[in-house]
Amino acid sequence: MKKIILLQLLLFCFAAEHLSAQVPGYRGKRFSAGYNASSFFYFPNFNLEQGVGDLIFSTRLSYKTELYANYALSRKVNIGFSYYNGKQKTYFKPQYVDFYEVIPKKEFVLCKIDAFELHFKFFRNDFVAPVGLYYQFSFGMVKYSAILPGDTLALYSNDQGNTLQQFTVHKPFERYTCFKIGYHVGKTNPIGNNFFINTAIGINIFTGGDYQGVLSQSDRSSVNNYLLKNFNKGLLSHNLLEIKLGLGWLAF
Amino acid sequence: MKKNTFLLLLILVSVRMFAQQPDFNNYQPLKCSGAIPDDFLRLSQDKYKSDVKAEAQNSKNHNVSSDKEDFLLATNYIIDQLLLSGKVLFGDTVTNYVNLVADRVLVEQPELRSKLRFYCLKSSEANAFSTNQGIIFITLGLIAQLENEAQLAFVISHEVAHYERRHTMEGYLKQQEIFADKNSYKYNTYDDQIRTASTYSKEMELEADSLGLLRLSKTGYACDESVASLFVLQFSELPFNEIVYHPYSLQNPVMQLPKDLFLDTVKQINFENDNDDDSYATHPNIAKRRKRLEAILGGLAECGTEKFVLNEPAFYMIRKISRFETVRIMLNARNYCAAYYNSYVLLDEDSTSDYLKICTAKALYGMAKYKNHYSFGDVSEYYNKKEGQQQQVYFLFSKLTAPQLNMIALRYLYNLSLVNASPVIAAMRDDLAEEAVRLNEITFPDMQKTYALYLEAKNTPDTAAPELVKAEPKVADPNENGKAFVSKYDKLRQEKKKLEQQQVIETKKSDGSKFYLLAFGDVMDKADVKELFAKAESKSATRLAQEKTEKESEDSDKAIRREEKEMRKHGKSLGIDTVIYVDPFYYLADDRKGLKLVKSETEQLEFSAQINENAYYANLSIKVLNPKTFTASDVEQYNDLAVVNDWMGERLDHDDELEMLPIETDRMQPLTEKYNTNYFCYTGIYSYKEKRSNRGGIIFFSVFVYPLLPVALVYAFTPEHHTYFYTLMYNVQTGKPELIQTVYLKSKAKKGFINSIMYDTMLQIKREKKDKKSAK
Repeated sequence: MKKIILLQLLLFCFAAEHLSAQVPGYRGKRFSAGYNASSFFYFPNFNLEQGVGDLIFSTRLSYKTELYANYALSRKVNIGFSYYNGKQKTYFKPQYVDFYEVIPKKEFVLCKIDAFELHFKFFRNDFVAPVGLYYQFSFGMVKYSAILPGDTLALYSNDQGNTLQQFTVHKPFERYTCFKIGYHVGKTNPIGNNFFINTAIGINIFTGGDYQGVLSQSDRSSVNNYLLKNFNKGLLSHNLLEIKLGLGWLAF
Repeated sequence: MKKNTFLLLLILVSVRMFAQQPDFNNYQPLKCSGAIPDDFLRLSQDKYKSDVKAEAQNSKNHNVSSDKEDFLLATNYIIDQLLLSGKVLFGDTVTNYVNLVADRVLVEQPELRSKLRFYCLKSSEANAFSTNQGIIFITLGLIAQLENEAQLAFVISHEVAHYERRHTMEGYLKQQEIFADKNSYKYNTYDDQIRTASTYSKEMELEADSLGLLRLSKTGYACDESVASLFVLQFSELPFNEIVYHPYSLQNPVMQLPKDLFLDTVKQINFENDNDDDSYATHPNIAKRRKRLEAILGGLAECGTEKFVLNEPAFYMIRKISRFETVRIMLNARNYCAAYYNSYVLLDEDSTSDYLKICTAKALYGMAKYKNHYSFGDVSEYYNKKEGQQQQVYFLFSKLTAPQLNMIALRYLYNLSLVNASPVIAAMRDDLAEEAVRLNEITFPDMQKTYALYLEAKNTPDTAAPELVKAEPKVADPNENGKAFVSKYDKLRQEKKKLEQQQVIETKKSDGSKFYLLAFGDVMDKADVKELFAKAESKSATRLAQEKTEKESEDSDKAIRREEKEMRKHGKSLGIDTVIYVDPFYYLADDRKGLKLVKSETEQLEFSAQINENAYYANLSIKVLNPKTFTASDVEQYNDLAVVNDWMGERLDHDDELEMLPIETDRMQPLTEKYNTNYFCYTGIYSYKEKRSNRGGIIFFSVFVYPLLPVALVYAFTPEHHTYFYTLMYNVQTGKPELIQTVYLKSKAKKGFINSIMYDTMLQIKREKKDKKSAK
């Protein structure tokens, strides 16, 4: 967390250095704010052995929203902060955990994503910030967790006598905090003098959670790692690719 | 009785209108006056719509074919472009006179007369043409060549016949029919199609000649002048007169041009070229036209004999005005040799005319600049193609080398600047002086040496080479009786000096090609000449040092990167407060349908408003000279637009590396004072859409990433848009571009994007230069 604060401070200093630069903005407006809806197709239970038909019918749409504010640092660069929020259903796969097979009470667990990011938009040569075609690089922090009554996740497990027993796992908040980096290509298209439409397509990469567990599927995990792995998989599948569409306000 | 009263009125009006002669010594180019006619003010789309409506009303089934609609659309836009270019005159002396002659020609057809509008066109070509809309254009180049009023009356009658018979539309429709392989032309080859189309066009010309002559015969004008006007047309490319050329104005008592720069005899004018092959031409050859007219003349029962009906002196006056104008137009079109010779011809009659002397100076300046930059071929024709006395001029200027022409032009400009206080003439003189030093390596000491040798040779009875050689200083020989000791370096110095002197003497001995060093021989001692060259040497040295620094920084990648980064970050900072935006353009096109004229015009009007809006936000003071928004009382602005368009058009023709001060700069001076700025700007948008080129590939690959298929399909089947946004801003005082910007967007010309870019451009214009050193 300290590292993030340090990074943000550094970026703020970098931004402050450029605040005095003569920048045009859009008809003199350098500060803008807006709202985006992000979505993309995802496969909740992707399995290579699935038929194409199954794959198509199991395809779902992810969804999250973004609030952001931007400032034109120079003719070609925007700096901005975003806050993402969304509720996403994550598929919890039955799996052996601690020599027991764990079966989630519900296959799809409602999860919540909260993300804060700092981004830079580099406008293409022909355009002038904050309008036109841009390439966005973003760095952020993500909090991902299940939305459960009492902050607990109910699981069933087969005991040695093959009887299903329910047990609960308390949500370890801090453990599901992770970092993200993103790259987007987008376009800001003004409407009149005060508003704009923003469209973008991009990719997000996340670290954290049981990252190693995700990479090696065959490993037997602890109950905790089982949760982390599933959260991380959900996070990736919902948010790896995204298409954004939103409205913005060219403030001042 | 009515007819006679009208005629009398016409004569009275013409006498009154042309009673005052313009001052040809200080001639001022023609300007439009009065209210701007409706032809200039109505939007092209409105004219097109009303033309289509009228066409539908006149047709039997009230339908207008698509070919006719295309014709009406295209012609209205093309004519309007011409009308709003500033090249068309109205309300001026010449156009008024043409209208009076037209009134006379059509005195018995008032209804037809009311449908026709006559305008003069600022062009040096001898031509006239009529449009389907009833507008008849006659070029000043044609009026400059005509011999009398009756010939002008025949030209008008001929063009009226084209209008009456709707030749322009009929010709277009026939061409469409021929080239679209319709009807009987289906199996014709392309050559046959061209020949058929030109045959039809020639038939229409002969018909217009015949009808024109018939009309002329009823007006009292001499009918045989119709044939004479064809003779004028045949030789209209020749200068206004045939005068033996003598370069008296380019020489001085000290500098005479060598004989080898002149032809012994000039090529005879070919009088037999009136029957050339016209198979592929739009007009029949002169012989055929003459034959047809002569045949009709033979059968005419009654015919007038008057060469002048309205006012003979008035005709000569408007012809003279047209000639003065034509010289200026030639200069503007970079036709310097023709402008020079025609000025020479006119100076024969008006030897005191400052205007013609300035034109001569400008022609020399233009030729010298192009010669200095190795592009003389761009502005001159091969002398062997020329006939008559003008060939001498083409030969002379093609043979003169760059230093020779530079010094000859410089001397002419120097002489003129002594009697003419025009800052433009002074600027041209200084420019050539600097180029003489920098590009042609002419130095004042060289000129002094040459002049000293000239004087020496003049004072010697025999000026042949041996005498000049005899004049060499004697070099002491160290071996000669051991009287003098000369070191190695002394010997080298003496040898160098000897070589330098030898070079100058050789020059005089060989072919006299360095005669140009004597261009200022007779005024060598004058302080202003010394000052002129001292200033030129200093400017040249500064320029060379600057070029060296630029080259060094160009060699450094780091410097380039730094500059590029700075430009990306901030753009330019020009510190300009006021700019005049001239005739903003906006074109939308489709690769399948061509230009979208109606939409382009609508968008152009909005674009003009957009410029004003962005200037408001950028706090830049601007004035948009948009002819599409002129009202009837904006004649002054129309005249300004004409001047600016002439200047900008000429400036765009010159290569930037030429760094040439446009010829029309003196006409721009009053405008810079009026608008309180030196900066004039062209801006515009060209946007077109085309079919996406790699549709198949996009669909094929998207099948593999099937969730993207819907997006890919939409993407593949929507057209690709390309938009170019141009800004060209020039400084009128220097003729140099201050801002040249072309922005390419791979998208539609969306208003928001254009606002963003335009605002940024205006900010770069407005923003004060940041002086880093002073800031520190």
